[in-house]
Amino acid sequence: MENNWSQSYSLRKAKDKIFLAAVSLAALFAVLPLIALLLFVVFKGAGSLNWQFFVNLPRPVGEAGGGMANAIVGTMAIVGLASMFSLPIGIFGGLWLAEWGKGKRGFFIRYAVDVMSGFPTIIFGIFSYMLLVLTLKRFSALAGGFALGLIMIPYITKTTEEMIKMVPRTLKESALALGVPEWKVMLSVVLRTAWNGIFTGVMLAVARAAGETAPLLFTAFNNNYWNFRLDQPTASMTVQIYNYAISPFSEWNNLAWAGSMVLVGLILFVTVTVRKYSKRINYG
Amino acid sequence: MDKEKIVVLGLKAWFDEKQALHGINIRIKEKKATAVIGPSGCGKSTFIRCLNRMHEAIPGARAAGRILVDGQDIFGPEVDPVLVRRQIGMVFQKPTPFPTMSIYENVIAGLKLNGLKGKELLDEAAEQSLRRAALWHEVKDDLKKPGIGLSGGQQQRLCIARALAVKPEVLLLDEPCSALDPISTGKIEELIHELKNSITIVIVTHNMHYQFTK
Repeated sequence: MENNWSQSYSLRKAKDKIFLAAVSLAALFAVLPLIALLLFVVFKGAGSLNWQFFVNLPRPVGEAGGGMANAIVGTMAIVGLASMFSLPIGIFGGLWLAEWGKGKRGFFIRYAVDVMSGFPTIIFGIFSYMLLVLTLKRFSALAGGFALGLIMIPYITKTTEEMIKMVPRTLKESALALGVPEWKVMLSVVLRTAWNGIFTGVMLAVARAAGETAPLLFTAFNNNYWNFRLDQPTASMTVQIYNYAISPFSEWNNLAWAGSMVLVGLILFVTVTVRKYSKRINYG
Repeated sequence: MDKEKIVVLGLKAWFDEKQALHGINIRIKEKKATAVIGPSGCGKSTFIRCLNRMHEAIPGARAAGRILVDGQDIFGPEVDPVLVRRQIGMVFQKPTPFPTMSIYENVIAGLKLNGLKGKELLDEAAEQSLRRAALWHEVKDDLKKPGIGLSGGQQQRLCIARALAVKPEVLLLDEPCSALDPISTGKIEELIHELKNSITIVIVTHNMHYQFTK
């Protein structure tokens, strides 16, 4: 009897091809916005980008040579503040979850962290507004940093937990078997071994926080001048970009593009470097 | 008669509700190598992990009974398990060099984390431990290189050196050769013969042809 293997085979091959084409197309559409956005930002921003952008203060419309120097420093200050309190909380929280978070309490905290990482970021801004801006009666870098820090905490916690869970149990036991107290084992062996991975998570959280606008609008607010006091309104790149972008002046619009390009470039740089670096994580 | 280093009386151990050891009694002689042999899953590892109170490092695990080391019960209420482990070292099945540390740092890790300072002191301890673990000649020029760069057998001897550096009186080895090739295994067996002249050894093994009496 003759079989019809070849016929069904060619039909299946055709189906495979259609499927592959559909999936490839979807993948292409997934990266297309990124590529389009990058090209667009570079195309629009490169023209207005010069050294004055990095060293000068914002200037009124009609005056050439305005820059975002104070906003660049402001963003660094706000993100720095955010990191200062979110890093220890996130890292130690993640350590607790990984090492002691097996029971009900661990489940609850892990759940809360997950929910928190999905919150719209403007909520953190409102929270900080009520807690710090209203009580101190002024916008400040402090309030902005607080809001961004809250946004960073769940990211850092989750990465830390995952990275620490990847550290083999035997490594921890080897250190314990040397007669080293548990807290020292945690700091010197477990955290140190997971550090590359944790650092990756921290840098991605920093990059994310640096790109936030909404929570800063009513916490750090903005400032057209240099400000080195943390309890005063402080400029940030994102808010400056926002203000310039919605202004009716094409000059300022161009500066917004330049600012976008710098910010996107910065975030891209951090993300790519960190991803490359994190590939070398080796737990032996 | 040889002196008894460890006397185990009625040792029982549990993982949560599951009992793994049902009343073990054994006398382990000083400066001898004692082998623990048996089928997989019979509790050999659990047994030696009780000897330096590593068993309880596993969440939900507990033990009961008496383990006398030089006559003192290590399960006593006043006994700090951290200090017990300093006196009774342990080497695990898979080599576990600390991946962020160099060979040198690995060897002195126990000393350094326990607060010992002074470069000369540490250097001396490192060399001495590596010599005792029969690794010195292979690594003496590469002390700054990462510990995980060594071969499996060398890594295991590095772990033995690391355990020896804190100067334990007893060394527990939990199937130290199960992940190693025959040549590395031979070297470690030889090393154990050598070590038993100076410290008490308890080793879990599947290898029936160990001849510790030779």
